[in-house]
Amino acid sequence: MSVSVSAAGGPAETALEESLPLVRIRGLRKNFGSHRVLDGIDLDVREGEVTVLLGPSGSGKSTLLRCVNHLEKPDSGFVEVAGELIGYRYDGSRNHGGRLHELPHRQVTRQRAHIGMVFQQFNLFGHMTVLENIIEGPVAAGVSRKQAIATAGELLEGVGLAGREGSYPRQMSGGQQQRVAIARALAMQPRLMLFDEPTSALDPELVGDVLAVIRDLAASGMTMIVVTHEIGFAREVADSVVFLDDGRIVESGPPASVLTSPRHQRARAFLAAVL
Amino acid sequence: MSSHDPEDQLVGRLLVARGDDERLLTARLVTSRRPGQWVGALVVLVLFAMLVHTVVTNPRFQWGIVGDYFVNGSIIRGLALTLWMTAAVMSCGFLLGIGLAAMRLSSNPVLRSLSFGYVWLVRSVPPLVQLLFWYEIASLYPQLSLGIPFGHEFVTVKTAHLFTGILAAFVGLTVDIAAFSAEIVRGGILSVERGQSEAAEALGLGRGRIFRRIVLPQAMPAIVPATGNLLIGLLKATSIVSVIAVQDLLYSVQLIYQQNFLIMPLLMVATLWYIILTTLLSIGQYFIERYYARGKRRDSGPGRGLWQIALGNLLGPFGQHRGRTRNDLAGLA
Repeated sequence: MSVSVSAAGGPAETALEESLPLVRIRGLRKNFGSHRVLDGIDLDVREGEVTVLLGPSGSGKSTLLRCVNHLEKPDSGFVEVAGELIGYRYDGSRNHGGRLHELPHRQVTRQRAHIGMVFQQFNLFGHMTVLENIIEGPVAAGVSRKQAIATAGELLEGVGLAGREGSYPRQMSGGQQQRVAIARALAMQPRLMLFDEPTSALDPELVGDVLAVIRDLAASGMTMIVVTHEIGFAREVADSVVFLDDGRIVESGPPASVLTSPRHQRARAFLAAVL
Repeated sequence: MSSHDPEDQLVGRLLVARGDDERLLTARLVTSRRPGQWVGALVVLVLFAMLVHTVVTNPRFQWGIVGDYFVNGSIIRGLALTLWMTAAVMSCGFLLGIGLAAMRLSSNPVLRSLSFGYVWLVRSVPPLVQLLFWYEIASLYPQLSLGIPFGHEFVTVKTAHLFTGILAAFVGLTVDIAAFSAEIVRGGILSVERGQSEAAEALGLGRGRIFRRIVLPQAMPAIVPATGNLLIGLLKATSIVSVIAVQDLLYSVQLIYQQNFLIMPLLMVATLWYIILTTLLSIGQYFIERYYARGKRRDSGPGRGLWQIALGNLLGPFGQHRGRTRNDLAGLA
């Protein structure tokens, strides 16, 4: 089974974007009440790369991920995807100089269409069939129903669930549901995929199938940010491993160095306990 | 004792045998008899038979007259009014209630307060009092007009002409139903897990579409039973419009017995009609609940029919379920 992604952008665009990372995060801070969850995150993700976020629970990994598609609103700092500021509009004019204006929901919605997200709890729409789940996004974005159904068929084949269009999520195993969720996100033809602990809610024997799909997706060139506890997966697939602790990046680099010989004390302790 | 088969030895070693084992394994299973339940059932049956007997044989019920008036013209007209008033009030009231629920859950504080205030006020005043209020509204506002606030009026109408008994009844009941529907819908919406709307947002769906296609349909299994209850309550509550001389089922019955003084038989006529209608509504509710529970059933079959469920409830362990395994039962509605 294989999943692939089509290249995006014309020649002039590509030349500019080659120099700019697909995702740029600067100075991201987020509090929940008095609890500081993100404490100044700076991160670049280059196009076609897989970045894995590791860290103990409460370190802010999921919050960071959710800030990328503006499911969480940062208290300060910004997120840029493909050169576009997410969730805000910058006003550098003299009258209101240096302000970030919140974008209206409709525009944030449009920005989100290019960023796919896969959740730990799958979050499939239980009252809809697998097919209806997958075509909901594209149809809402204006794709014709016929076209959406055709694409859905291909995507289901790609995740190894050909012919399951008429099933309801409740009738499928966790691994199958998560693969449908991946197909659903891919139906929007995103440039960036976010995975929030995609296999944490699965039985151990089902994890392999889902990881295989994610691995194929990475191999086909999709830019991905993955929050996971699967160290083996990180070692195989990641281009860059980022270790978070207490809302800060304490270590980052290629998996070979971060996972084998971490320098920061907290990273070493975590990996020693997990590996 | 362990067998000599090498494969068995791995497992056989862990089990300790006792003399009784063979006899226990081949014995037949006998479920408990529960004599207490049989006695209880018998007592209830006898009491029920006594009740039926007295109702059927007591001449003061005057069942003949009940039969005579059951399909009387003016009573059927009253029934028709009760029915269409219930339908009209429920449709308008429920739609208004969905709007109020959406307002209450919105991010706009003005909308939230308006919705909250409306529900609080309407739930505080008895429906009958509200009804009388609407009936008498002409005394507060003899004239209603459409125009610019505090300015010129384009259209005016005499309130007394507009607010006849039927309109007052319709408005009064709709306002009431809207308040209760709002709470039911709000509760149903809150029961839908947040992940659903998050996933929808992540797909780039707009707020309206998320509410209509993702959240509301999944709130329905929680909303339908309470709404069915509300509807059945409404059908009976429409009888209060008889107080403002609207000719519903109850008022039509009252008109007749005020003339011939046969109060009991005619009240029985109304009672029987109400029972028939609410039973039909309950059956309808069952089918609607089943439709909205589609995604929640483990199997994709039609499930048990209405008749099988009714029998199942009556017979319980003595009937339908005998011989079934727990897995079978788990898949049934």
